[in-house]
Amino acid sequence: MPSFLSLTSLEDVAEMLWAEGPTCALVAGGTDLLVRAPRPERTLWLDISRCAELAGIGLDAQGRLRVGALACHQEVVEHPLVRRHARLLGLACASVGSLQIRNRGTLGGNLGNASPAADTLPALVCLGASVRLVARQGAREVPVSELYTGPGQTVLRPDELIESVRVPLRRGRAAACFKKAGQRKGMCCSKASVALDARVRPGLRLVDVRVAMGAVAPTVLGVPAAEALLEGQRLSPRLIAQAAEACVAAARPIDDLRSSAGYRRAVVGALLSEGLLEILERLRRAERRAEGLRRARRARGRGRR
Amino acid sequence: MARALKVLGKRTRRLDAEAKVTGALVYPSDKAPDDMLWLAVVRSPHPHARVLGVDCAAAEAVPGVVRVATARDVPGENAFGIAIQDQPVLCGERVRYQGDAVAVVAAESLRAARAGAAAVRVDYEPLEPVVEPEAAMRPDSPALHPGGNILHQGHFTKGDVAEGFRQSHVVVEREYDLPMMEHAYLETEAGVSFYDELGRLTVDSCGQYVYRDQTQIARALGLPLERVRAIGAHVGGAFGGKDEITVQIHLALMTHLTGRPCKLVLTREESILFSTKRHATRVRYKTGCSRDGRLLAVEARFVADTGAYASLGGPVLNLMLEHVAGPYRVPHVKVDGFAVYTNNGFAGAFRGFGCTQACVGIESQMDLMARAIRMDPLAFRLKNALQTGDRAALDYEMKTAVGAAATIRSAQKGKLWRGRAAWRKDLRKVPAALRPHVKRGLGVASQMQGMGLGIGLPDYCEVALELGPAGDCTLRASTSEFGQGAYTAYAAMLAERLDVPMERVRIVGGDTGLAPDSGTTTASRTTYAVGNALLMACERLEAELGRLAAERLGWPAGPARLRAGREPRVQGAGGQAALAGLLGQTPLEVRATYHIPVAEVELGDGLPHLLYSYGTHVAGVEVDTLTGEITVQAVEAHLDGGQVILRTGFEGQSEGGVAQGIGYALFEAVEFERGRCLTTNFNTYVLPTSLDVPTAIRTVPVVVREPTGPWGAKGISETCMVGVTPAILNALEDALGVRFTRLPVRAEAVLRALAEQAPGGRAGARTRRKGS
Repeated sequence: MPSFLSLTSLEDVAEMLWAEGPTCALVAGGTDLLVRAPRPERTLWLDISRCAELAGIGLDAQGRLRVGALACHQEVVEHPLVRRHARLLGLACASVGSLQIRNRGTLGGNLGNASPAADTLPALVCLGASVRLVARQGAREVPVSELYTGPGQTVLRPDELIESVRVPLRRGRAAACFKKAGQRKGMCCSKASVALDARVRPGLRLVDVRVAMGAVAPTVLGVPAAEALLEGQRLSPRLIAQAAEACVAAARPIDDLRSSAGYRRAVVGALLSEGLLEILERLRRAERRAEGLRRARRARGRGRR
Repeated sequence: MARALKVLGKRTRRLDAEAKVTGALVYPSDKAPDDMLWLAVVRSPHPHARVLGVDCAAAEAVPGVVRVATARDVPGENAFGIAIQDQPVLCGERVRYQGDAVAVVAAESLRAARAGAAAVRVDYEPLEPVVEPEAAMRPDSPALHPGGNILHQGHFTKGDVAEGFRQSHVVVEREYDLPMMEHAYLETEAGVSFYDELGRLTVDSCGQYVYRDQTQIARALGLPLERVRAIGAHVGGAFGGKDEITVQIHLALMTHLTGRPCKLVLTREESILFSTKRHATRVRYKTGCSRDGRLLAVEARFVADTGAYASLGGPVLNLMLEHVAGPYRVPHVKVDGFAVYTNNGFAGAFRGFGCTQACVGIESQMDLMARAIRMDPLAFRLKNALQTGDRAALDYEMKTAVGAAATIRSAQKGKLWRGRAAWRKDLRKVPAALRPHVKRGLGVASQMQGMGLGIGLPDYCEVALELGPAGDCTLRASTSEFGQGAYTAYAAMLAERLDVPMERVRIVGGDTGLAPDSGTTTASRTTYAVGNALLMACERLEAELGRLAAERLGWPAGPARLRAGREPRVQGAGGQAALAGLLGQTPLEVRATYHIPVAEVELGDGLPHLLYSYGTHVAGVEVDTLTGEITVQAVEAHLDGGQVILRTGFEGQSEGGVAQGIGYALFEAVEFERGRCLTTNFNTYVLPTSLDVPTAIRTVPVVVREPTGPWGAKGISETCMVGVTPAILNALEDALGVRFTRLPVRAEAVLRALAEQAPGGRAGARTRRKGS
């Protein structure tokens, strides 16, 4: 049986990891750890759930969104800063597990567990987020897109832990979607997932388009080909189909009990299509509304003359 | 006209509601006798192997371990099984599936017991697993049991199917591939054992029939029956999966060997590996009908994978055969069935009990035929629906109330079916942009289900009824309560019959030491059987009260009835008298035994039944054709259970049945690779959650009174589930034009089928139509 140690300061945790890193398994929400025991050499379960420095959601010195590693998924979903400036992250967090899991599982845990199917990863990659890693020797930042080297594998050294996630704020009108295909409607791991984030420009156009996929490759996968197709172009069902094709072409999925490679490949395209079709519908509705307002204003103007 | 009912059919609160909601109710896994030992079972990691040796020395040296038992320590017959005792309590020579028990460890703590189990060294010689039932049936296959691999086979013919197909305008032929299904009860198999105050070796656990548990325990331990007591009252779910022995004999054995109380709770992985399942079955159907929609011929073949041991594999196969043609009249029938031993786990009883597999087959065929002759699927079913006096598929007369047509008519009048055209087009909740990619469809299925054990097996139910001087009643019946609400149903029936308020009724169940043998808690039989027995008991009670009144109060002879009130009274030929005065301090006890009536014909192997329940389901599905995701949006259940006893319980059963039927249709499958189970917990064995079950479930009671039933009631605990699955399959064809024949239908299969259906895809119809 592993031993269990609970520490309340980040400094002490860093110290312990410096000394014992390879034998430690970090415990925060425990939603991964308690259902699948860590490798046997991890004999010390180090509880970090009471480290205040790892908690909270707010703005950092550079004006970026800081989500502490201990923030649970539901906290992220409900936070006003996330709703305003990182809606995509909220959408992804809302699709995780069940309310009970979202209330326990932490964002830091979802990142550190490094499952290829983790739902927050495609969203964070789209948002250009970085992870702040802390060690006794000092801190460093790594973009989420460069954090992973394989399933369950990260660039974290044994003496490092995830302190927080930093997300550049999105300003202006955003279009975002997160879609996942699971084995059922709730309490499920993704068979495949797609996230998209972009700014909206007049004429049904998207710019700064970012697309990323989960569960279709050993690590989270950005899809530059789809981004390039969509960037600055007028959205149309045809363009959407082409972007979906680009996702299908980029996917490198595997067969497992949860799904088949063939389905995963097909469904990432379908998920992006559905997300973009819904975005297109919303943009069209907004344009019609704006057009109606303009017309009404013109009519009023004529009346005054 | 019948007297208006006071209690039955109402939204009665369950007797155990408060205890269950507050957590006060004690389940088998909650029990913890003083000074108990924890048990852990050593199970085979191999699907098939010879046991060369078992070395317990290291396990016995683990601190806290008190005793390790192996096959040598089983004092009686080292075998169990409901029908045939072919499964060792502890395997000494050979293991036949992953999960077979080899040793049991008793220790002072759970941790020590598990450490001890891990330290038991078993020397196995792995053998080639037998995994393909068709191949296992051939004489050249390695035999898993002395009699070969065919546990049971059944063959019936009526008329001449060849002639039936010649007369048919349409003949449809399909093969269905149905998976093994796990019961997935909330509470895994669990229990405790101890010596009771009378020195009886007592097992308080989770069985569905305590008297049979008692027999099986006594046989394995070599003890006389009266030295063994089996308890199993409140259990955390069963669905047939706790009908067979699970933890009982291991518990009894270790208390017998150590003299101390013991406790055993299976882990979920153990439970899934070890317990019985629904039979994976390959089903082949060929059916024909006339141009005007008369069902003319049904030919079918079932090959059911019964896994490593017999359990109830034979009877399950028999029910497939009996229900081969569903609730329909058909002149020509030929059916063959085989239950085959393999090393793929272990199959046995499961809600539906073989009807499930037959129902998926025949109801899919009915839809295909209706489609081929362009007839409305409900009209087609109604035209062929069995009536009392008709001859059933296996050529015996339907003698009792037949609700087939009534449930079909009820479905025709139901909201979902009447509004079907609008329902199919109603995509208001789908984002407009996705509407072109979303398809809706409605499907129906009708079903009958034999009630009770059929002919040939003793099917009796004894109860004891006690009336106290204060007017409180105690009913003692040995059946179990595993969530279905049976005990509340008993109390409601007593309250209706005796003029005793429900809160004054106490049910003592599931205990061979306290309650007489009321038979199994299975086969949709409990409400019917216990209801009839308690009615007999009530009549006896009134006769006894009359006799006492005659003796003590000098009343003229004749029965006396109970009258409720603050001071309960008896009323009879001599007027009224206070109950307390009549009884004095001594409660009055009567007993009664009801024998479930059986058919006059006997086809062998327990066939056929005399009594059947009926149901017709309408299911509405929505399919996202881009992702292949299926959503069941609405289900309407038209269930003939005769008189409804508990309205809320009736609906609760139905809604649970819908959830399980959805699981069988779209989600669940126990999967094996060369006999090794791949789906050993709920992360890989995926069950539907509340989000996958529609909120729009409507349950419509169709009251076709069964003359022999208590107030005309019969059971619905299986009909409420079985028809749901084929109704969904039929709805999928309505939505997509694709016939799915392999369960579960997951998104992967939908996308594959749609790709094949697209221009250039593979054409799949095997429907022969004359003159076309």
